[in-house]
Amino acid sequence: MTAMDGDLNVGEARRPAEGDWRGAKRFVLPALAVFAVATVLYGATVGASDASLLELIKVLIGIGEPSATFAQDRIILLELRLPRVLMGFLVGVSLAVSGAVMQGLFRNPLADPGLTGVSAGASLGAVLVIILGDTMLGPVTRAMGPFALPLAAFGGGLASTWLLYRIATQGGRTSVAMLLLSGIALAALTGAATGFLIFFADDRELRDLTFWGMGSLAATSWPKLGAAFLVTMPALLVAPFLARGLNALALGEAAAFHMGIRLQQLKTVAIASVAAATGASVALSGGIGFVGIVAPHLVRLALGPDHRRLLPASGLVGGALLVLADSAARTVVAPAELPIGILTAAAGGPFFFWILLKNRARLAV
Amino acid sequence: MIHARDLTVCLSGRPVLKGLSIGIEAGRLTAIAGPNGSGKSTLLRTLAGELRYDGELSIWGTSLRNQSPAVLALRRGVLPQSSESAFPFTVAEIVGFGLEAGARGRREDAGLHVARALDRVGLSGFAHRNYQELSGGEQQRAQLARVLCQIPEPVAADGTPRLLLLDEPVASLDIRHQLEIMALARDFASKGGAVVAVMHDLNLTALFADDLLLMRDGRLVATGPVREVMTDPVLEKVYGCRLRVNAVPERGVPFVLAQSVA
Ligand SMILES: Nc1ncnc2c1ncn2[C@@H]1O[C@H](COP(=O)(O)OP(=O)(O)OP(=O)(O)O)[C@@H](O)[C@H]1O
Ligand SMILES: [Mg+2]
Repeated sequence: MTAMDGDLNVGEARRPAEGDWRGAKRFVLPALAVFAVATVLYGATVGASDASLLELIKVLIGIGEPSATFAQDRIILLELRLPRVLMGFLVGVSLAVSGAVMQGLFRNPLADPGLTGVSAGASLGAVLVIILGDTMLGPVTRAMGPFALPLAAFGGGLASTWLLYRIATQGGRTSVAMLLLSGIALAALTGAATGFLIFFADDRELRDLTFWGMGSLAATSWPKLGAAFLVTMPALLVAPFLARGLNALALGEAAAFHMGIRLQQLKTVAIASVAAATGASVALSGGIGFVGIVAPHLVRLALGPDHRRLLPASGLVGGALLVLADSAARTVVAPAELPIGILTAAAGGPFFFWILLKNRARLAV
Repeated sequence: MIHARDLTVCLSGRPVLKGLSIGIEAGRLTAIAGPNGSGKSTLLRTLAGELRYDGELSIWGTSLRNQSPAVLALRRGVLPQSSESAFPFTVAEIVGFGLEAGARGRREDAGLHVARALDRVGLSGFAHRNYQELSGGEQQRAQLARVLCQIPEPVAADGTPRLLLLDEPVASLDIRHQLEIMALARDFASKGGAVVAVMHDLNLTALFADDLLLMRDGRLVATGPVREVMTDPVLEKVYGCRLRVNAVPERGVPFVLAQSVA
C-alpha cells in the first residue's frame, strides 16, 4: 500500500499551499482593478507633450498655480489624451472579453473573433463607412455622426455572424467545426469585398484606411468614445451571465444540456455580444490583434479557467495591456507615433506561437 | 415512472430506434444491453431529453417534450460514456458545476458536498488536481461525482423520484471500482430513485440490475427481470454467438460464460 500512502502524502503536503493560493485568489480581482486604474492614470501622464496631469488636477481643485502653458496643457489632457486612454481601455476590455467568451463558446483556447470572421465582417462595415462615407453614404453617415463607424462595424459583425449561423446551424444545433470553417470562407469573402472597395478609394481615403488597418487610437474624441461605449456596454454587461453556461459547455454540449443550460440561447447571446464588442473595437481602432488571445490566456494561467473570474479579470488585463501598449506607441518614437497594432502584433505573435507549441500535442488533430 | 410507446428516433435521417415500447420503474436498476450499434446510447440520450423523437415518451407523468432543461437538471443526471474538459479545471471545480446545476441556494457548504461526493467515488485527495491530467477511469469517476452532486438524493423533497442515467459507467474502471460504482448505482435505486445503465458486462448486470432491456438493431428483443430475461436462447439471439448461462452455486445469481462465436 506504499503507492497509496504516497498519494495521500502528496495530497496532504499540497493542501496548505493550494489553500493559501485559493484564499489569495479572492484578492486578485480587486488588485487587477487597482492596477487597471493605475495604468489609465499612467497613460494620461505620459506622452509627446509634457503636459502634467498632476498640475491640472491641482489647479482644478484650487491648490495649484496655473503655469504659462496651462491652457494648452489642459486641452491636450482633456480633449486628446484622456479620451484616447479611456478608448484604449475600452477597446482592450472589449477585445479581451470577446476573446474569452468566444474561446468558451468554441471550447478552444485559440478561438478568437478574428478566427470566426466576426472581425472581418466588422471591418467590412467600417471600410464601407471610411471609403463611401463622404460620397455615396454621405447623408447617412452625417446623420449618424460618431455612431456611423461603430454601428456599421457592429452591423458587419452581426451580419457575418448571422450568415455563419445560417450555414453552421442544423436542427437547432451549431457545429463548432462548421462555424470555424465557415469563418474562413467568410473572411475570404469580406476580404474580397474590402479589396474591391479599396480599389475605388482615392489617395486620402487610402491613407486613412492604411492607418486604420494598422490599428490606431490616435483620432479619438469624446463623441467617438461615447458612441463606442454605448455600443459595447450591453455586451460587456451581459457577459457575467454567460459564465455558468460557458463553464458547463467546457464539458461538451451534451453535458451542458444535462446541467440545465439552454444551449441555443447561450450561443445566441454570446455571439451577439461578441459581435457588438468586436464591432465597436474594430471600428475605432482597426487591426489590433491578439489581445483577445493573450489576456484570457494569462488569466487562465494565474486564476484558472472558471469563467466567473476569467471574464472580468480578462477584461481588466486586456484594458490595462492596451493602455500600456498605446502609451508605448505614443512615446517610444516621440514626437512621431507607432501604430499600436504593430506593437500588439509584435508581442502577441510570438505569444501565440508559444501557446501553440505548449498545446501541440493536444491540438494536433 | 418512464413510459415510452412506439418510440422512434432518427439520426441524420437514419432510423436508429425503431418503435420501442418500454416502461421503467423508480426504485429499480434497469440495465440496457445489446451489441455495438444496437442503439443503447441513443436510447439513453433520448431519455435524457437530448434528441427529437416520434411517438410517446413521458417521464414523471409529463411528456418529455414539455420539460425545460432547467427543470430536467433538477431531476435527472447523466453520466456520458466519456467526457473531456476543454479547459484545465480542477476536479473540485468540475464536481462543483454539478452542485450549481442541481440545487441552488446552498453555496456555503459547497466545499463539503464536493468533498463528500469525491469521497463516494474514491477520489478524495484529487480535489485540486487538474482534471485534464487524470486517467480515463479517474475522469469517469470524477464525472460521476459531478452527477451525484447534481442529484444528491434519489428522491426529491416533494417525493419525486430522481433519474440517474449511466452510459457504460464501469467500462474503463478496474474491478474494485466497478463493484464500488455499481454498488453506488444500486444504492441510488434502493433508496427510491430510478437508475438506467447501459452495460456490456453481463455478469455485473446479473449481480446488480433488477431489470434488463435487451436491444438489437434499434429494437427491443426482450425485457423483464434479469433472471427471466437472461437465458441462453435470448442472449444467443441478441448477440449472435454461443453463450451459457449458469448460476453461482451458493447465491443463485446467474453468470454468463462465452462459448464460441457461432
Ligand atoms: N449522429 C448519428 N448519425 C447517424 N447515425 C448515428 C449517429 N449516431 C449514432 N448513429 C448510429 O446509430 C446506431 C446506434 O448507435 P448507438 O451509439 O446508440 O449504439 P450503442 O448501442 O450505444 O453502441 P456501443 O455499444 O458501441 O456504444 C449505430 O448504428 C450508429 O452508427
Ligand atoms: Mg454507446
